[in-house]
Amino acid sequence: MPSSKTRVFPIRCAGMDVGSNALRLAIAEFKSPDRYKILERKRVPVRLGESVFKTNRIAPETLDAALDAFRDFRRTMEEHGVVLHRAVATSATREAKNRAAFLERVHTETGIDLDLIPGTEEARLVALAVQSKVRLRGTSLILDVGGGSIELALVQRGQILLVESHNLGTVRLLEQLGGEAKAKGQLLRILRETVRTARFPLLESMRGHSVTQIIGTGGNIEALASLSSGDNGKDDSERKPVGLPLARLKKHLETLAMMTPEERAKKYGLRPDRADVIVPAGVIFEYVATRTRARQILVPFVGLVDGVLLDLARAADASGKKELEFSQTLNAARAIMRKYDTDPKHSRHVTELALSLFDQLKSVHGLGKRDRLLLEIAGLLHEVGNFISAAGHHRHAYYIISETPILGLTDEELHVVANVARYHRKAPPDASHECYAELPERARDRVRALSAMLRLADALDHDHRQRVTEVSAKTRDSELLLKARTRGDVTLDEWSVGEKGGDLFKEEFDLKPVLKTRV
Amino acid sequence: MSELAPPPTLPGLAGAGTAAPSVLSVIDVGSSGVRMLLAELKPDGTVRILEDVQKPLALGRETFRTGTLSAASIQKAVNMLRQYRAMMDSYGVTHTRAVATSAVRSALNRDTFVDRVFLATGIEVEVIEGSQETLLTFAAVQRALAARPDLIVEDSLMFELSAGSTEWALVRGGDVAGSLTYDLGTLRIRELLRGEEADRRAVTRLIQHNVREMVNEVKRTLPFEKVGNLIAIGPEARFAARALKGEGDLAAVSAKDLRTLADQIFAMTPAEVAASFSITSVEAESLAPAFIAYAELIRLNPVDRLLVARAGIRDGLLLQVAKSIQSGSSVFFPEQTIAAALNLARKYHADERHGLHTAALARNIFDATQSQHGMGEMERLLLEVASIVHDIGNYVAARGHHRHAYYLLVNSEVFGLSKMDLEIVANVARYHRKAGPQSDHPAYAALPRAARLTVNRLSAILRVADALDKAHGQRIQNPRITVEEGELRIAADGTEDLALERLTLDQKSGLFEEVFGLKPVLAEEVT
Repeated sequence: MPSSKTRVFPIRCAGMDVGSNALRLAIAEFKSPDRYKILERKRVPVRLGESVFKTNRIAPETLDAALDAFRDFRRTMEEHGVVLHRAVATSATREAKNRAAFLERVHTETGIDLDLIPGTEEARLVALAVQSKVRLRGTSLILDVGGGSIELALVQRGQILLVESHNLGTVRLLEQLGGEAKAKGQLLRILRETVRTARFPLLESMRGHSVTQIIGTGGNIEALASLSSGDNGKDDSERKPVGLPLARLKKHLETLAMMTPEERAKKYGLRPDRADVIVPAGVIFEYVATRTRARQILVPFVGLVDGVLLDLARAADASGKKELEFSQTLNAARAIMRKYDTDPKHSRHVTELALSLFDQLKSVHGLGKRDRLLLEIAGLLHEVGNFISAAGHHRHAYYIISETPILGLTDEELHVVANVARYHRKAPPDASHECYAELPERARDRVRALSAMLRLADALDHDHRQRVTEVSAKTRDSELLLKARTRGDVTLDEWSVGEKGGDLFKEEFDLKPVLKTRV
Repeated sequence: MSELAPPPTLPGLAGAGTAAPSVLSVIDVGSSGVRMLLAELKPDGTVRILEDVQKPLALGRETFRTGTLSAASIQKAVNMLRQYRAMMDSYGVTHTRAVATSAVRSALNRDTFVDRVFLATGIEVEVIEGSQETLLTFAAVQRALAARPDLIVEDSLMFELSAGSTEWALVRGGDVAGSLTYDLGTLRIRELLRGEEADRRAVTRLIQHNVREMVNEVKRTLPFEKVGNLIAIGPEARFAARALKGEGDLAAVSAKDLRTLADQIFAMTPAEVAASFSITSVEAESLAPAFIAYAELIRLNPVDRLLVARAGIRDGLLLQVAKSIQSGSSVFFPEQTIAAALNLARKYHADERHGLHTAALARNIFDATQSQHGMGEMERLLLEVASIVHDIGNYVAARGHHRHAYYLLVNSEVFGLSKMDLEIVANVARYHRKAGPQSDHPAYAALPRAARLTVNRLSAILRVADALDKAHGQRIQNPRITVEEGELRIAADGTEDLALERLTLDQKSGLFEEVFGLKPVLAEEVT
C-alpha cells in the first residue's frame, strides 16, 4: 500500500521494557526518525529476577504485579494516542519456565505482545539509543548492566562489531551471595572476586582493539554518576551525558560498601530497589573499565526503552505509517484467530472476498477506511466461536471478541466487530438482541451494512473449500450481479447465495444478489 | 434436585427383597416408538430378559415439524404405556425407570405429556438429554466391547443417529475420551432429500457437506485424527446387520456390502422398502438418510467394516437400575465424567495439576463436613468437576475469568452430566472468586432453590480448596481436615512456608463461614 513518507511523522510511539528489576514505559512524539520528545516515562519496580533466579518461575504475585503495570501502561498509551508500540522482555523472562503463560496473559489482558529478545538484540537497541545521544569516536564499548544480565557491545563507526550477553546481572549476583547481610564487611572483596572469575570472551577477543570510550547504560550507572551531583534516581533522557572518572567510581564504591542499603537510600535519596544493587553494578563497571584501561565511563542517560522507541520510528519511516497503524491491530486479530480458529483458510478467504465486495461497492455503502478495517477483523474472527462449540458459534464469536481487547480498536469498534461476527449467520440484527440494541445508532448502521457483506462473502465459501476464487460485483436496476471465477463444482455456494446469504444484503441495500459463475 | 436419583419404586408395589430376584422394567419413549424391556435381576447379578415389547409411534417427526406433540399422539402414547403398566403389574415389577428422548425433549408441551402419563399410569417419565442418552447407550455398548479384547486395542468411534441429533463418543482404551451431541439427525437429512431442489446432485452434495461439517466438529471436539473402529448404534444400523446377516453383540458388516444395500434402498420408496424387508414404514423412512451418513463417514474415516451394536438405550437403563439395586449408588460412570472434565481443562489449557489437586482438597473438605451439608454422591462429583475446570476461563481472558468459565461451561458438554448438572457446575466455577452467589445474578437466580443451595455450598468449598493451592505448586498434600469448635481445621505438615496460602485462605473463606458457620483455619502440624 503506497504511502507518502512525509505523512508518517509526527507519530506517537511507545517503548516498553520488562527487565529483571522493573518494567519501564516511555512514550515519545517523533517529528522525524531522529528527533523526538519524551512525553511520559514510567518505571514500575517488579522484581521478576528475584523469583526467576531462585525458582526458575515467575511467582504468581510477581506476575500479577507485572500485569497491573501493563494495564496501566496500556491506559497511558491510550491517553496519549500512541499509534505504534513495542514491548520487549529480557533475561528474567527469557529464563522463566512459565514465560509462555506470562506472555499469553499479557496478551489476553492488555493486547500487548511481548517480544522476548535475546541479549544481542538488547545490545543492538541500546547501541542505537546511545548513538542518538553521543557521538561515538573510534572504538567504543557499551556496557549495559541489568538485574539479570550484562550486555557488552563493541561499536566502531556506527557499526556493532561484537556483541555479548552474560548471565551476570546485579540481582543475580546478590542472589548468589545470599544477600548483602551475609557478606558483611567482605562485600566489596567478594563481589570483586566473583566478577573477576567470570569470563568475558569479548574482553579477551578485544585485546587487538583499544577502546576509545566506555559507555555505561542502565539505572545503576546513572545513579552512580549522579551521586555527587545530587540528582539521584531521576531517569531523564533530557539530561546531558556525564563522564564518571574511574577513580571517583572506586571512591564511591568504598563508601557505599560500608553502609547498609537503608543508609544508602537515606543518604543519597536512592530507591530501595536501587540501594542494594548499586554496589554489584558499580563493581562490574569498575572491573570492565580497569581491564580496558579506560579512565572514565561516559553515561548518556539513555537505555533499552529509548532504543526500542528509535527502532520503532525507523521502522515506521521505512514502511509508512498507515500500514503499520493497521498492521498492529490486524496482528492482534490474527493472534486471536490462531488461538481459536481451526479452519483459518476459510476465514482468510471469506475476508478477502468480503473486502473485495467492500471495495467494489463503495458507491453503494459509502463507508470508509476504518469500517473496512472492522470488516476485515470481523471476517478473520467470524469462526472463532467454533472452538467453544459449533452450536450457536456465532454467539460464541460475539462473546470471545467482546471479551478480548484488541489494541488499536476503541470499545465501540470492538463491539461493532463482535456484532458483525455474530451476525454472519442465523437471525439478522434485531432490536430484541441485547448485543445489538445496546449500540449507538451509528454503530448499528455499520453493523448492518458490514454484516450484509460478510454474510454474502461467507455464502460464497459455504462449502469451506475456497472454490469461488474471485468475485466481481456490478449493480443493475435492483440486482447486484456477482460474477464469480471458480474452480471446481460450486453448486453448494450458488445455492447458499440464493437461499439466505443474500437476504440481509437485499434488505439493507435494496439490491438482490444474483450469482453467475464462470470456471 | 439431581437428575440421576435412584429410580423410585412404583407406588403400591412391594419393595425389593434382597434375597428374591428383582424384576426390572425399563421404558424408552423414543422418536419412532415406545419400547419396554422386562428383566429379572438374580441375586448373583445376572440379568435375564423376560420381555421385549415395541410399539411404533412417529413422535419425532411430529415434533420436528410442529414443535409440539399433538393430543392424538399423547393419547396413543398413554394407551401404550397403560398396556405396559398392566404387563409390569402382572410380572410383579419391583424396580422401574422410564425415560423420554429427543422427540419429547424438543416438544414445547413436554411437561403436559409427562404429566398425562403419570396421571394415567403412575409411571414417571424422565426427559433426558443427549449426553445422558449417550451415557446409557455407551454403558451397554461398553459391556459388549469389554468382551472383545481384539477391538479395544484401537480407538473406536461410536455414534447413534437419532431423529433430531447424532450422539458421538470416542472410546480409547475402553474408556470414553470425549463425547458430543450434534444437531443433525435423520429427520433433517430426510427433509433435505425430499426438498424442492430438483437437482439430485446438489441435494446429495448438500447432505454430504452437512455430514462432513458434523464429522469435522466431532474430530475437533473429541478429539481424534482417525479411528480403527466405527460402531454404529440404532435401529437403522441394526437393520443393516440383520439384512447382511451380521451376528453378535458387535456385528461386523462389510463396507462393500453396506454400499450395495444402500444402493438398493435408494432405488426404492420407503413403502417399497417396508414391504421388501418386512419393517414398518416409519422405520423404513429413516434408512436412506442414515445410510448416506454412514457412507460419508466411512469415506472420511476409511474402514473395511462397520460394527453394529445390538444394544440400545434400554440395555443401558437396565444396567443402571441393576447397578443402583446392587450398590445403592446412583452415580453412573463417575470416572468417565472426570475424564471428560479433564479433557475440557486440557482444551482450554488450564493447569491440570492444580485442577486435580484442588479437586482432591475439595473432596477432603466435602467428606469432613458431610454431617453439616448432607449432600450426596452426585454433588460430590459435581464439586470435583467444578474444581478441575474452574480456571478454564483464563483462555478467553484473565480478567473476569470466572465469568468466562461460566460461559464456556454452559456451552460445552461433559459426558455424564445433564444440562442442569452442568449449569450447577458452571455456577460453582463462576463463584470460585470475586462476588459470591447473589440473587441479582440472573443465571444463579434462575436456578431452582435446591440447586441454588447446592451452588452455595459447593462454591464455598471450592474457594477454600483453591486457596490451599494458591501457589499452584501443590504444596499442601493430604491435609487432615476436621471440624472442631466452630472451625474447619486444616492441618498441613509444616515443611513449607505457607504464608501465601494462609493469606489467601483468609481472603477466600468468607463464603464458607457464611454457608457453614465454620471458620477455616490452616494449622501446621509439627512432624
